[in-house]
Amino acid sequence: MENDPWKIPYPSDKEIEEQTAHIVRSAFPKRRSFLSQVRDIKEQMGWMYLFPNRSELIFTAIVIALLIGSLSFVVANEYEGARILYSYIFFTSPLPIVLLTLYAMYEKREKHVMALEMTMKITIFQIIALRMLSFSGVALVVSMTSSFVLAANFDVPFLRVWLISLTGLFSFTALLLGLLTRGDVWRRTWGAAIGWVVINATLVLTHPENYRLAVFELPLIIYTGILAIAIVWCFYTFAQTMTRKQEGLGLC
Amino acid sequence: MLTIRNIGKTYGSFTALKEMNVQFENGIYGLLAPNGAGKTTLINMLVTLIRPTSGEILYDGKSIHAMGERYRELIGYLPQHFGYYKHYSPRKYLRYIAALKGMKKSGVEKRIDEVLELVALSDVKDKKMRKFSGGMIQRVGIAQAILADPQILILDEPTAGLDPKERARFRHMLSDLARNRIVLISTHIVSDIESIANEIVMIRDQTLLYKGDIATICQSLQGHIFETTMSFDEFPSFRKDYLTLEEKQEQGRMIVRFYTEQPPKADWSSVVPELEDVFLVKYASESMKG
Repeated sequence: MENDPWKIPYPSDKEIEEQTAHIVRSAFPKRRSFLSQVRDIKEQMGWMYLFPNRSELIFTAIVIALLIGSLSFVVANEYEGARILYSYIFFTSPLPIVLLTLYAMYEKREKHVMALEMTMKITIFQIIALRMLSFSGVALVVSMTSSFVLAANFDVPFLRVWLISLTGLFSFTALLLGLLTRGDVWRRTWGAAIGWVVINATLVLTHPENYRLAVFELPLIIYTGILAIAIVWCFYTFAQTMTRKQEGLGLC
Repeated sequence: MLTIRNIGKTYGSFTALKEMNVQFENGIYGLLAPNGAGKTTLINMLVTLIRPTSGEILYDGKSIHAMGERYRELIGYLPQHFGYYKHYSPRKYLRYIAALKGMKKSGVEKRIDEVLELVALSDVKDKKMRKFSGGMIQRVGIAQAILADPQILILDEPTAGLDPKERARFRHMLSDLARNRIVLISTHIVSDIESIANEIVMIRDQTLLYKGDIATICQSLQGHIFETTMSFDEFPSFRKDYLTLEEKQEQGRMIVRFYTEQPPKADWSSVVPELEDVFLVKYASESMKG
């Protein structure tokens, strides 16, 4: 008989398994590792679109050229030899990164592209973080090369110059990323840039000996420790920036 | 379905939007309001640029802010002031937007060709946008908004800078697109949406005034819109007493379309209200303020 009241349609074992797997998949989506997320976004964006403005690259090149030029000037005039060199390297290492960030934000505001780009799947924070990561990679190479050149020409130990440069770079990058995760990117980048210059200038002017001692005399092992902390801090703030939600932040 | 549930937005003591409740299903919605009524605030909330101070916006029952990137993947947005990189060509710019939207690389080139064809920019797809006219730039803006085939398309003043032919093409394109998505068009130009919008949303005094189809909205003025003919000398005093909606000169006399709640006079002829009439009547006090 076709209409058997006792016959209840029941899914097969295979159907039950598929449905269960589907429910579990939906309830507990597979979490991708943080590094794979970073790699995916980087592959999605590509180098060209991480720096969409050609003028940003020109601007960066000019800033780096100016810094190298002024470094040559400082060293050539032999004001205080290695002492001033170390302070100078510590102070100027993060400047390209902050100037580039400020310039990029200025360009986005000036070209009115922010309103649209803030509504995209890839957040403005992910782009900033990836740009900084890329730039840090470039800065590592530049810093190593310039430290090597300086050590070869001006009787300063390579390792100290390099460590000072990296400490300045990573400390500032971590500080900047930490500030940016709070939103209001434009104002906070300015704040960080001005803060870095003012604090360093104040220390140089008010406690010149202590400042020089801290940069010049600090044992390398302490510098290495500070650098390690800065790198860990930098990666922590990088992760924070990559996962920062951008909803409700207006035009940053 | 996109649900706006009791949302409000305040900036200190200034209220930009209050107690707004609307639901959008697939179709074209025209968002009509004068400047300062809260239109841009509403759009900024729908595209997640700002958060409501109160209430919530839901997409298929889920908070759009909690959905995060999953919601942003669903939207296509054309801002009122569309910005772009001048040294990019339309094709390169759309590749950039596709990357930001997280589109799969395999289908991007084909899709770019499709949308550029839709907005009639195929011939100039590799030319730098630096030399483009305002209308061409606006068409690039429309192309980027539809690039990822969004479920929710939000266009803020999309026809600004388009010539009549381009406007007509735009209307046809939207009619096709709206079959399986929500399209919200914010505009001052009533004629742009009159022929294509399924429903009109009107905002006044920072809250929803009307939401309904054009016929229903126009019905609210039935019996209050008239036309009459008069001499030029009579017109200034007539304008003081009545809200005039349209005037034209014909054979040395004025033909005036106007709104009144008074009983009709013998030389007035009742006419069918149009959306433009509703807009002018409902926002008459705003234009007086202006």
